[in-house]
Amino acid sequence: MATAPDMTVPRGDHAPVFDFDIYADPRIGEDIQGDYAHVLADVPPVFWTPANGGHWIVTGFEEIVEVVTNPQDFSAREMQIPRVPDPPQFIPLSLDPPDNIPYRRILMPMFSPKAVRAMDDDLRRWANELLDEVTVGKNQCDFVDAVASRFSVTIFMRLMGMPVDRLREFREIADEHFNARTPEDFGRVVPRILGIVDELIALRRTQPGEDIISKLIAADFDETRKLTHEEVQRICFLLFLGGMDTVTNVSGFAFRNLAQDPELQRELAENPARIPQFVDESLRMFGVISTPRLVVREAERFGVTFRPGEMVLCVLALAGRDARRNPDPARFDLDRSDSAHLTFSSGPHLCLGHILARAELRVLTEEWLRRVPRFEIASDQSCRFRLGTVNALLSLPLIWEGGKGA
Amino acid sequence: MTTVAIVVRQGADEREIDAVTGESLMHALKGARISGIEAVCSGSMVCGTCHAYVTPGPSGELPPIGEGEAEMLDEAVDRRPESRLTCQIDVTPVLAGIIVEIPASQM
Repeated sequence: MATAPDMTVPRGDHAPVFDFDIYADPRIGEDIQGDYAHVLADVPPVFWTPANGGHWIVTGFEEIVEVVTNPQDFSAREMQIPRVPDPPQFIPLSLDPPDNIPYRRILMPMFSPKAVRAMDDDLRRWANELLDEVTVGKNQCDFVDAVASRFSVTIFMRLMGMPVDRLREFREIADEHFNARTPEDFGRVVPRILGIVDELIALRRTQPGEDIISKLIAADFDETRKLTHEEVQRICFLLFLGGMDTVTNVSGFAFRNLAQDPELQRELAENPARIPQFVDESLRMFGVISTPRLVVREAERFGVTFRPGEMVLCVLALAGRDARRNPDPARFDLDRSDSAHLTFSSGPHLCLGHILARAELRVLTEEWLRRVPRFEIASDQSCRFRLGTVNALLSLPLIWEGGKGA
Repeated sequence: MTTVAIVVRQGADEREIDAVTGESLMHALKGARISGIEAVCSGSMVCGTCHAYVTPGPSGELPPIGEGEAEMLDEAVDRRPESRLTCQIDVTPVLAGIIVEIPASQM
């Protein structure tokens, strides 16, 4: 059973302390990753914050790699800050190796390099359909609502065999989950998500298709048995949250940056072959996930002592902005060689969708710039955003010339 | 600590790097800043981005392919009989003179 962190132990010993509220720090604005880097510029790469019940924050590239590849000390079995009783359980994310491996083996062929390559034509067709609707004869849109969320979420929903007409409803529920803090919050939102998932599983048990849920129902676990209902449910729970809100958020930040850089727009419009570099550099600078771990064994690392029961939050977005790994990290540079980021984390829980995410970002950027080579942020509006373990841009009002008006 | 020399081919380029025994071939390639070896999962055998074509050296030997590695390789783009996940190969003296070719799809 989980034990509550012992807050009577003075934090400290030698731990650097810096007060930082991941959910509502007033110093963080819509340039979330840039503001994080600025606020934490002079704070050590591993520090303790008293906010939200008290927890560790890890921001350095090598330090994060060490945490996420060391499940003996840093377990993925709890992901809530502050901790809650009966935390939501995701498969395979909440399972430490080797327990996660058989599930990853089942899921991997659905998201592998080969599988994503086979989706390329579909991705492009869907991008074209969507962008024709949003741009032809128009000169403005909310990029997050009209493009980023609809593109990546409908791709995910099609893969899952979900009804695409419920996109907004599903997005709102995922947003509610990412805003949940208390046991009461989770008690409200988790059953709603599991209810949706159960409905879809029941449908696919009687009407199997080519979708992921049907494949999970048919899959063999370690070649010995089928997955139980609860296993399929906990996998779909994770995919639901991952699919509703992650590529969408990275696309939003990537396009917010692109909208503010006419030179970059010109370069990419003239040389679409450089769009993969744009995707890589955007991923480096605009990660959205901060991944939590639970200390399960006392560990001396990085000059501090981690004690069992303490939570550790790895701010993946800052790994790519670690100057020890990427020189001049605040500069967006298409020509960067040997750059590295941890936007998809690393280790046994590396984001399953990392190849699909890159492909989506590439295709979306290619097709967008073909139609709208020059665009900017509507100056009279600000972008809404959400802070937490999944950072999000909730709106991005864009305008461009050449259309006939909305 | 000893090192063994291995040959790395990237398209038309060929170079020799030293790998330290005890580390993985992936780490040796990353350490030599070989592009096309991303290894985004840091050797946890869940990403497949350290895929390369590996031909034995004079010893004629390579460590065998494990079950998990074989499953990952089934999902690689442009798999060949010499395909390996370089994170699953530990550097030992039998690796001296192996040829590691980076797949074109990863460059």
